[in-house]
Amino acid sequence: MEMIELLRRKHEIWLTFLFGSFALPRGSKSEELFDFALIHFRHLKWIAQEIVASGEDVDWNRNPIPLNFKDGTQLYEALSHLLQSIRPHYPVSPLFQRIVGDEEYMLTRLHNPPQVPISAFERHLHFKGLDRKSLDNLILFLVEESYKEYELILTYTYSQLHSDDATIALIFEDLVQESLYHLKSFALLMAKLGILSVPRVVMEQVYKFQDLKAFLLKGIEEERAAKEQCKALSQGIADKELATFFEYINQQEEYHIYLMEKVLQRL
Amino acid sequence: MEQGVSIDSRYLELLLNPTNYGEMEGFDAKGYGKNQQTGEMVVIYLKIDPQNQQITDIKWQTNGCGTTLVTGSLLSQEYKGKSIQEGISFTNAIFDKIAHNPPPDAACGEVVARAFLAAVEDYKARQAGEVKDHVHLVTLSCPQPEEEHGDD
Repeated sequence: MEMIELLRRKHEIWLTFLFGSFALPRGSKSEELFDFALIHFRHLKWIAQEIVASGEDVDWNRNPIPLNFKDGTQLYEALSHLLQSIRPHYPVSPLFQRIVGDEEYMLTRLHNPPQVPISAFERHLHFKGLDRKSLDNLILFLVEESYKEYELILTYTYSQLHSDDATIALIFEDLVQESLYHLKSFALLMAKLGILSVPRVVMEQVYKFQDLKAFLLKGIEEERAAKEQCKALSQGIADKELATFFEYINQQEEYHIYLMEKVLQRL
Repeated sequence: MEQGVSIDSRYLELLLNPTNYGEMEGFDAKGYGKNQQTGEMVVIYLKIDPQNQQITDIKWQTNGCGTTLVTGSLLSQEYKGKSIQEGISFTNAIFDKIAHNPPPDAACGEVVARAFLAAVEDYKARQAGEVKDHVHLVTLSCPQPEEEHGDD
């Protein structure tokens, strides 16, 4: 299997572990899956780095991932199957030796699934007694913004892979980590509403941009728009805890703008 | 207090799992619709039967909002199985319809329809041996939050 195909399969594994962890009720099992997902993300970056170092380019294309698990056993069986099916395709190298070691350990952990039902895909569409308007706004926001955070993770990672400036690469790393946190927060709310889903594939034209400066200026505009949306949500949702949460996200977006402006200054 | 959601369940499913979504390998035509004001983009890929000019498969992608996502899903279902000429007539009918929609919805519908016309143009160009990106721009405006607050 070619490296680019391995990258795509690893991308699918990362997302299935990540959203699998969000689907489980909170606890040690979901935390363990989340940690495994972060390790898969590092694998993904390392494979991508090797591809770029070889003079080829990467992309974030993959198959759609329509998740729908009824319980922990179904989820763990699916995750085990993913790891077992990619294993024969790994070449021999220090990187893949590491990846194989990680995945073999994960397989031992997946032998012991949590005996819990999963309701994250059941379309409950109610949350803490929210009124209809608040619920509509919340659902639309979560669907759009979970995609946007995923898009940002991939875009900043792609930019990082192609950056020779250490400071810029570090800023992109911060932005990736911030978006991972936002994605997790939004996805956990989606799971509570029963609408958890893996975001759609990001089109190449989004992250393979020609002009970093124009991309950042556009990104700053989008962060400002996201801030406005968070502000509107925090003011429009009749739930104090959620309103405080969106105010907190809104405040974090402000710092993202500052980070992007720092990158702009270095160009 | 009214509870539950007013979002249509089919609309919600298309938001979460858009139909015909993705990239296409071995396409016969590819076209872009672009909204320069918002940066929103749609790319449509077509597989076309050269014998009868029928659209046998369609895939599409967007970086756009929920309305674009749902519109793209619905229109892609409509385009599939039509001939190119039927697709063009259908698109023209869409332009007539969306002119009466609220501006954001109209612009989101238009960007998908423009991408289809760009793909048709691309198909014709490829038949003539010319390969380049075909991009059609949205003409309707999509109000931005800044405009609504009057502080642009």
